[in-house]
Amino acid sequence: MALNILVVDDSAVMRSMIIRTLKMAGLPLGEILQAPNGKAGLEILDGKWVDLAIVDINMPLMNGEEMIGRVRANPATADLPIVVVSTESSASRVASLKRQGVEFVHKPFTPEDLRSKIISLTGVTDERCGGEDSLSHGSLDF
Amino acid sequence: MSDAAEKTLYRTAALIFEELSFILPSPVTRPIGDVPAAGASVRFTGAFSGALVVRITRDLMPILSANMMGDDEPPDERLQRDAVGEIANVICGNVLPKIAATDEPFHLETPQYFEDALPAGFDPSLTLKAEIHIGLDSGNADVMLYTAGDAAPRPA
Repeated sequence: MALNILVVDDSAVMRSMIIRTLKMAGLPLGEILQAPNGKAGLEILDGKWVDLAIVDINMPLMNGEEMIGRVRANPATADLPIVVVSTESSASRVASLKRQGVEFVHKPFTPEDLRSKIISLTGVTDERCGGEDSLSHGSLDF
Repeated sequence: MSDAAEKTLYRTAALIFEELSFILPSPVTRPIGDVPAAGASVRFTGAFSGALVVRITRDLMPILSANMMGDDEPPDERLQRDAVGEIANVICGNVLPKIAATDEPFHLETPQYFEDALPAGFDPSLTLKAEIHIGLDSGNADVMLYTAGDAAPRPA
């Protein structure tokens, strides 16, 4: 199954880093969609089928927490797998996000961090290697 | 200024520069000074409020941004600015909880890019609490933590 993935981050550079990580990760990728804030992310979800969203927290117009709340409140998207990629370090805030069924990856992140969370949420496996460690020879941190 | 806060700021900023831009950091004793420079400021509120400012030598911007994006060629000016803002954002988000030593969340605003001097509208009432300087191969960076009022971040 090829994954359509929505990347929501107000930094175009960070979106590019995340997308590069996805392409390196050996995951079956479909369409990669991008949005600079939660509001634009919701608009994309309204019109496109998305299998996974990767969402930042601190963003203008609509932050990641509000976007995730609206996604969960909408029956059409309530079960969308979401990975939060953020600098957030508050254990209570991270726990609050996890209660909404999201996985959390801390910035700066390694490709392995992101890949393992995506596999955990979606159940997909590496297309090229059939599973483990397609990134085990790299030590890039993002 | 607190030595402990400056050590925490240096360790955090050096790690972020290395992990995001793959440029090996080294400590330097002097600020950038009058050479062409640019930077980004991130306002924050939480256990204490203030701003985290990153200022880098202008020559470093193309290398920094190209490394972050994994490209051989530097991106356009807009993305170079975005890269500096993201560095400031990630340093800010990582260093504040360490200095505050509390679980209280911080809210970070969108980074504000500036050329040479601090951005227009930078709150003059903020007090410089910690300042560090980092050597980054072909350029240098200054990182400053400003806090509001008498807020005195507790060292971790």
